[in-house]
Amino acid sequence: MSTIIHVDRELQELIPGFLENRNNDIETLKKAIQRQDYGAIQCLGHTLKGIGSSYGFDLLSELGFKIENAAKNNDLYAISELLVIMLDYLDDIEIIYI
Amino acid sequence: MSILIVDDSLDSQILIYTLLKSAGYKDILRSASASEAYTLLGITNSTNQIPYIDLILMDIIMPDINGINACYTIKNHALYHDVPIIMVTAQTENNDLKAAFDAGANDYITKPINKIELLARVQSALKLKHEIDRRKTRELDFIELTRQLEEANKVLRKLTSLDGLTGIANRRHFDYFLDISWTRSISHMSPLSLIMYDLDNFKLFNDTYGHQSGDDCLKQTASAINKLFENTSALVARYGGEEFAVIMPDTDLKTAASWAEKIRITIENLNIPHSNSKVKPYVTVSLGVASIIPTKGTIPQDLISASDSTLYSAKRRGRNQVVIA
Repeated sequence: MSTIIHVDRELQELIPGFLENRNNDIETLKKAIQRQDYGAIQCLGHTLKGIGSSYGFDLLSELGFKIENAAKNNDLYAISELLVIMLDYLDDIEIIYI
Repeated sequence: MSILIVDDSLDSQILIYTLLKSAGYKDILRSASASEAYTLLGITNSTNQIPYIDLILMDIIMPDINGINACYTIKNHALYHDVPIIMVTAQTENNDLKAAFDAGANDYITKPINKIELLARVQSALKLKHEIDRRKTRELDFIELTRQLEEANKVLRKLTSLDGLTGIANRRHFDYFLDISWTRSISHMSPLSLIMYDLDNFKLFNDTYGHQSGDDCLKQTASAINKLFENTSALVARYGGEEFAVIMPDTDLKTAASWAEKIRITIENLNIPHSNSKVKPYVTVSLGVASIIPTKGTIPQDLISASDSTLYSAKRRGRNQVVIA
């Protein structure tokens, strides 16, 4: 079952770009994991934490927070798990503009 | 009202931009870094056309120069001292908030950004800016008005203290100056002298040469004597008609008498023809000098009466001379 996300009508035009940027984030994250670049991962998590809920994607902020913390702990396993959750989440969302 | 957004995250930058645009704010500028903002604001180079900014929204966590340092730099620039800065921060960065406020930030908004909170804080910051601008304008108006008023008062004071014909002090200013010199002499226990002088046979001068020439004679003699006392603390005044007075603070009788003689010689040297004078074929003056160390219980009128009666003696003794009390 897909996750329903409520987004402010005023932001409708921004959403396609926003989602594309998140796909880019996933690619960046994959590469950073391969390099074990915890600094880059922490930074990316921090950004996600800030913007996720701003756009109405609450889980994204939560994942960002967890990614940031996992990177601080150099916990590559947790980061990989969070990446998978993020992929699944973004694969199956339904957006309702309010 | 123009707003500058400084945020390295494009998602966050465009989000704030869109929310503000939707709320009706038209003039919104964006920078992706502090150094980009510095360039825009003319902080690093002053050659650019500098936009007028009413409010800055600044992300705290940015690569290179962070928001706190940027806030400090902008706030310490003369142009942006009164421009409010709202810091944009993730909730877990509370430690940074103190540093941000220390750096001069006016308010903060937490990420994730809540539309209602954003608009409310932006609105109140702009209201503050508007109020500051209004007060600054009023202050400038007030300073200018005060300056104009002082200027007008100066002119007015001058006009009301000068004699219209001769341009030297008038009777009103004589009274005022004598009063303050009197008070000052009492407290300093210093002598105060008064010379009074009169143009000899002036009625005959007018009868001979006409009133126009009479006026010219008054002007010429007045300005010559005024010039004589130019660099002294004395005041030369037209006492009335052809009668003049010199108030000399901190001056004893002997010194005042020698000044009176200088006046007599100066007038003689002007060599203004006065063919019908009973004294000389040119304009001369009679002078009376009196001096006093004022005490409580004496009044300025005492000094005036004393020099007036010596002036009368000078006339009686044949004019063109100094008589001292």
